[in-house]
Amino acid sequence: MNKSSSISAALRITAFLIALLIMLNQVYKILCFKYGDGILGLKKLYEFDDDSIDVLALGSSHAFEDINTGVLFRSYGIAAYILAGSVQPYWNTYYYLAEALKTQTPRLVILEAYASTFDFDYSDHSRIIKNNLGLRSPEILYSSLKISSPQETFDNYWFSYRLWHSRYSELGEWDFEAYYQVPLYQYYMGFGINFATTAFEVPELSDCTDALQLTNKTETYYRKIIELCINRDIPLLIVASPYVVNDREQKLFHQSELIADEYGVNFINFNSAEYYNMMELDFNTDFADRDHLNYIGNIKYTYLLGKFLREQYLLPDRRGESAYKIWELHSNDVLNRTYNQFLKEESNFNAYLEKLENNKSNYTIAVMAVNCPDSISQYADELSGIGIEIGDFGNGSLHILKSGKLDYQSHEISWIFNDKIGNNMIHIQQDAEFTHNSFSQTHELLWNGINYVKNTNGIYILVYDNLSETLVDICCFSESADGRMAKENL
Amino acid sequence: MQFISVYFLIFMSLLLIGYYIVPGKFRYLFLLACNILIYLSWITNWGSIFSIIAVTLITWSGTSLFPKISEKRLRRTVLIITSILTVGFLIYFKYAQFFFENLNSLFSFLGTEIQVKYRSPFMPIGISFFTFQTLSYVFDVYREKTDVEKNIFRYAAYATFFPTILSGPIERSESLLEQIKNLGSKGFHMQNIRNGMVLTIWGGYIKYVIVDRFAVISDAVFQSYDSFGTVILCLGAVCYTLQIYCDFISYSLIALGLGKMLGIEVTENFNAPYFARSVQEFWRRWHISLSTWFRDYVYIPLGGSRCSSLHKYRNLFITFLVSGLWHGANWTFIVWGMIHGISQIIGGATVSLKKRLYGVLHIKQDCFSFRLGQRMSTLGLVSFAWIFFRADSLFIAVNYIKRMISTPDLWTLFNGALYDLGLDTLQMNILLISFIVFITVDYLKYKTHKNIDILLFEQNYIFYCLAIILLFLATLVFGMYGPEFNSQEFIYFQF
Repeated sequence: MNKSSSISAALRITAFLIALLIMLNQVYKILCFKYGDGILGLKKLYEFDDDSIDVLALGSSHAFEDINTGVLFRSYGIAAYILAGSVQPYWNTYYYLAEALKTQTPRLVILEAYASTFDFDYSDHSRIIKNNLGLRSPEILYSSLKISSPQETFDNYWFSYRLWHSRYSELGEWDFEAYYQVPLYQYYMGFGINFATTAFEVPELSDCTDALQLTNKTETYYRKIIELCINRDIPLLIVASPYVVNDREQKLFHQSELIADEYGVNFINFNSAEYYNMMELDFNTDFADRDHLNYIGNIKYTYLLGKFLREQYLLPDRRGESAYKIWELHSNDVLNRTYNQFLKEESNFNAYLEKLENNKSNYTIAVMAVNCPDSISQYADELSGIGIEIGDFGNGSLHILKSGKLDYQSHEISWIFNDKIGNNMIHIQQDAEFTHNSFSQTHELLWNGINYVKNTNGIYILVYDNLSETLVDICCFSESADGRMAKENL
Repeated sequence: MQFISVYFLIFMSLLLIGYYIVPGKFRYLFLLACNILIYLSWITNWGSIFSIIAVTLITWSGTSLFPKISEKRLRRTVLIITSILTVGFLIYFKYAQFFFENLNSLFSFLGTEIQVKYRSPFMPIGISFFTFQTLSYVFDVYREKTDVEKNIFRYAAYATFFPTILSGPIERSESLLEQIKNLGSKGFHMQNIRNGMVLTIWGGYIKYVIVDRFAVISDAVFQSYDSFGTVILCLGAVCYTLQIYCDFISYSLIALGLGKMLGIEVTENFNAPYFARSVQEFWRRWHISLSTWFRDYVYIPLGGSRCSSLHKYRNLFITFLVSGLWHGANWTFIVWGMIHGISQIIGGATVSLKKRLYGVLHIKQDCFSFRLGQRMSTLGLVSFAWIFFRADSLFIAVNYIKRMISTPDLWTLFNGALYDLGLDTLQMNILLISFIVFITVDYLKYKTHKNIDILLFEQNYIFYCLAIILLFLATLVFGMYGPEFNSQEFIYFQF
């Protein structure tokens, strides 16, 4: 082989390998796991500038559903990030912390202590994936997997292509986009709002002084987390967030507290009557489920937690700092989503229109009147507030408002409106039919092909949030027997 | 350590580096060490390694005596003893239980209470293949077709050659041993690595994307055959027909590829067998190394075709009977062999009758439709025989065929029942598309006698690269492996 043919062969092989690697990378990007409750937290962490996070919160879903990073920043200027995973045991938390400390030196680490109550040595399959496969450092991933997975299944996780390759049957639109750039995750700080509401009895909390031994593996890694923070000279606060706790769990928290005391580390168990009162926690309205606070509860809890952090630790107020703009955007996003939920839950027509008015600059609103009651005139001011004049409001009218401005309006006998809002298709139509002795109208309100019009007469309202690119609400207000405007969620 | 795994990839990379670094004259020793290492990674008990060492030693020692013995009768005695000892292992491990089971059945049938108690031993991995490979060497040395290998380590490298030991092809000394003798003179050639990798990737694609999907359907049908009717039972038989071919060729391609990377040409085991126009042609294209083995060491010694028609048919029948038995110790395999033997006998005996019939009926023979008809009828017969091969017992095979004939259910073609056999629409589509790719390549091989490595290399470099990358990615993504799937072993591992 002469020199030129050797060079040519080398070039061909290089070109082949580059093409192979590029395509492999693309395939991996599409097929890799994209769980919000574990993997995404790490992915976003790697995007931060070094040493930019002031408070790093670790733990399980109790951390990422209860500690509201938006409230921490908006109310206290604390730049916090939650690096947690679903049902995350301490051994995974330990390696998450080790990974985070490679690039970050937080001024405070908060460890959510729910994992103290775990009595297993290995998580289920999906949790092993969620709590490991986001790790990027090979040595940390290896160590984490070694302790996380039973020996006989280790290969499946270590050679993770054996798992993600079969995701082709469940691919969605997100898999083909840079999924973490969609609004929900654009300003992600590890926190996920839970909008469900479930009522519970207030747990009966005895003055628990008994302690119950943590499992060996759990205790070992609990201690390792504490020791890692001490060795790195990073203050550590261990908290047990409020939930519908039981006696066994209280004993385990007590034992965790005793261990923390050994190291001189702060431990706060927020599961006490005193803290419930301080937070004004309402077990009827503030929980999403037994384990997690909802969008109302997490604000109450975080407000108290933030107050404690502000008082006890030297944490800078980052509000207004240009380098921390993303936290501001994040807190706006959290606020906006929470506001949307309050709107969605509002059943009073007057209050609903007021809430729409307050946030109309972010919304696209479609209002369709179908045989509207005469009493609508009493809401003239509120309708005017969102941009609809009562004079234009008819029995069969349509009003489209975008960012507070009237975009389309019709009160003809029949009309058709088609538009694309975000990635969604909207189609609203009124048809009129005349026969020799009657006149009738039919209506359609289609959102992505689904018709939401029922047989109810009234005012149909569709609200789309342009910021979060989500459909906030589709409802119909109609006049009830007592003359009120009653809301029906569609 | 499976052939398609990360561990094997790492092992093979290190092996190749070592293989081409080691001085040529020691390369066979390096190869032998690798053979042993890989074989050790497969075995679950020491009996396997004992068997392969014993067979290697017996055949090497026996053949070493041939040059020293001039007397014909003594040579023949040595041959017989060596053969019996070698085959003895195969019989003991593979057929003893079958023999005693049938003996006990016979005793029961005769009304005696005698029952021979016998516990089946483990079966050493690859025993059918290394036994036949070493036996061919014994016969060839005896016939003075090949020289005696004096170096036991070189011979052991031949007897334990890792790419072929699990599922063939069954190599001959004149090919493989000669190549091992000349390993020292072979340098590193990039094209060997390149072509070997293409063949291995292609084999992996067939195995993981196609075979295991066919297996889902055929397993579902054969396991619950008594709840299906004609359409699904036919589909099950066809799926098994395609499964076993794809399975076997995929292993053979991997063996071919691995051999090529080592600079060793492994025998082609398949040549588009399902394009055959007769059962006779089918056997010229299917498991070629085994067919030629039986031809050279059973059929011809029995008299071959150079005798009366009756004797020829007897020889043919015996050869296929033994071939069936080689595949497994079960009556199903024997019947399978018999079907092929009888088909060939009928085919041979009716040649002139068929010619006359075509003339009388004015059937055009030189046209596509005639050839297609021949291919379809051959494929139909082969598929029918595979039912016996796949079924766990003769009883099941017979009932399967009975139901296939007696329970017509054409509506299952239209009511979605085909998608209830373990593969949903997406999986069916993947199977269909990947199989079209496979059959296209197979047809090109039938037409050009070239394997995919050569076919692709003749194309534009960009197409070549894209095709390999797509094959690799298709295997990576659509392959049925990992904890989500129940990936199956190669079928011929069990033989």
